[in-house]
Amino acid sequence: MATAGRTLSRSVAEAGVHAPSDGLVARAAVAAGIAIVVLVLPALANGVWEERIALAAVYAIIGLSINLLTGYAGQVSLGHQAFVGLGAFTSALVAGSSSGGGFLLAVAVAGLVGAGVALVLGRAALRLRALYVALVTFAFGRMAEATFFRWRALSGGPAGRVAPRPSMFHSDQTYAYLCLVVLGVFLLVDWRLAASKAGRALLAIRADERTAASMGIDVDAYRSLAFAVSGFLAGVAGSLFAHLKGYAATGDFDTYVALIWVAMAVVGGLRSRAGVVIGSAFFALFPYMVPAKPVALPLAGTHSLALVTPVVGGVLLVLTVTLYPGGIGGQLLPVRRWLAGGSLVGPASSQAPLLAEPVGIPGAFALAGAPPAAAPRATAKPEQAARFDVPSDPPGWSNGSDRADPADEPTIQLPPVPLEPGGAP
Amino acid sequence: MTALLEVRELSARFGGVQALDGVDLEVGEWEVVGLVGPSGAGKGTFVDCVTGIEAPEGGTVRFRGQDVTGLPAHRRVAMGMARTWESPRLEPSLTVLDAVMTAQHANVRYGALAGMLGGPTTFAEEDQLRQNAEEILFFLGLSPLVDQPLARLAPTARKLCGVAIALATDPDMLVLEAPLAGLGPEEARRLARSIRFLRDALNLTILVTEEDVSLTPGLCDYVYVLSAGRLLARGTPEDVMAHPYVRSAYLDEEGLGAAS
Repeated sequence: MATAGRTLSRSVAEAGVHAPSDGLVARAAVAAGIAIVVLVLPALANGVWEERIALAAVYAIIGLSINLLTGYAGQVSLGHQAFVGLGAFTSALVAGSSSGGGFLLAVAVAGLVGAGVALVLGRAALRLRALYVALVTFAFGRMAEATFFRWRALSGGPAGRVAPRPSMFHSDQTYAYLCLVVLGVFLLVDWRLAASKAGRALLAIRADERTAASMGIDVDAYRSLAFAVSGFLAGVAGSLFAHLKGYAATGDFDTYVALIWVAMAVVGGLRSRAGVVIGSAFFALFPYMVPAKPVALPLAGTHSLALVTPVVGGVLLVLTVTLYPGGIGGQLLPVRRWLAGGSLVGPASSQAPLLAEPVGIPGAFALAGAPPAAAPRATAKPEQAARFDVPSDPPGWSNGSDRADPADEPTIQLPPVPLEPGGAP
Repeated sequence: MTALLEVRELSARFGGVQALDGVDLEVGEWEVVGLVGPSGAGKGTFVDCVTGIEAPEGGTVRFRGQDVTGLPAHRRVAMGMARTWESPRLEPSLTVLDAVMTAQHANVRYGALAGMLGGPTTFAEEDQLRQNAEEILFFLGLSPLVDQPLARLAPTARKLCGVAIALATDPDMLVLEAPLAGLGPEEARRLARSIRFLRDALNLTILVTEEDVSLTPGLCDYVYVLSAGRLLARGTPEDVMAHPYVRSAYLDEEGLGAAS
């Protein structure tokens, strides 16, 4: 009986999961193609673009950091420049003092500093609702600009602090690869985070903290965790950013970029890894695609296009929020579904009609109360002795037969209780 | 052995309103106890205080003989106290299976960091969790819906999904908040029988809130009637329905015809 039940439930499960057998080769080829293009790009790119690819990867890490906090945990951070900037200055400080040897140490310390600061901020904002968290992070970002970033011992003053690259990653090309590898590692972490208990817990907290708590989730701990991991990613990104430019300077970490970073994660599509990476890379690279020199426009004379960058960012943000809430990731959904083994054409769930009322109670559970005429009416409170007997019985469907309605017999054909014995002490 | 759940002198006050005023309640092992009262009587507040969602103003909540009054909700879940919500607030795009897997949280053996870093044991355990969740859903007859987003569930299915989520926490006691609300009379009776069946099959102890006292005979072993934050009556469903206060304060509004 047990095996029958198990197999049945398993076959039901298998029927529900799409079989990724057909088109496996095509899928693998496309996925490999994307990977190869990304990996070969730095090798083909000329000097300037190597640096830009590295910058895009750094932005993508920042985007993942924002996505973790905003997309998963539902906390908007308008002060991410604090974590990224602290990571940059810390890393420059550590790497600069030990003259090159401590580069990896510097990256790690930068991540830990970012995590620690974000954790403290997250704990402080624990009792606040999302809007107030946004305000607190905004205020913290401004505060960090006014204090940490002006603290000469940390930031090196207005001139900034030199952040040397180690000899191994001295060329822009190797550094771009380093950034891509770090991005890849964080993508894996993000994937596992979203697919494991922490990701599920964060999504539940984002929907409603009280409901999440009733599911056994420690809301405070997981909100803190989200802040800490997000801060770690931001700190590492800051470190990579500093060593990419060769220095860490206060001017690179202001409120404006913090807002850009939120915008790029939203435009990319929260909770979509691919979308966030693409959106972040776009926001990192787009300023370089706008001609730096004034351009002669037809009928409008010669103008500088410097204003185009923020305007395009703003328009994209408005478009995303109003018309395409899923962002780039949402638009890529068919491709992502196909790569994951699903169908390229629309999902069945969006076409199927709303599930009809009776679907709710078929099978085992409905049979429990099959004949409406013979409702088991409670006669009295169960005898004390009877209640003591219960836990000693082996858990199973026969357990309650003395008290259950005789009409419950059909349920015996159904699988045995698949759960841990709930009442057994 | 004492009662599984023992509530003494529970009081709660919100914004000047005395939502609960010295309520005593006991739920013995393997009982189905009803907490009945009109809308606004304080049933929801009582459930929130018992499960740790709200902090009471006064009184004690003992679970398995242990004082849990100051314990946060997730710790009570770990002790085996699960609840459903009249209107659960979950991510609507979440699938039924994911929702149940979320609720298995407290029973996941790997740590959050191990899961994040892709620890070698986490993959196998994720498979096991998925299988357990599928079995819970199969048990409740929800197998056809495993891949459906919560937003698409019809009311009855949504209620059963809430029960599945509560069962996924591996409870000894289920606190069902208004499980029969919003259902037609026939459906309500069916679900009431299903709840008793659930108790029998899984050895559960159940505390259930309900507005309509006439539905309790097929559902509850013992009933407490709450009105304006105070206990009005207690007893077997039949006794409570015969109680003069209940008849005057409650049943007259509902109509006695539905009572039998």
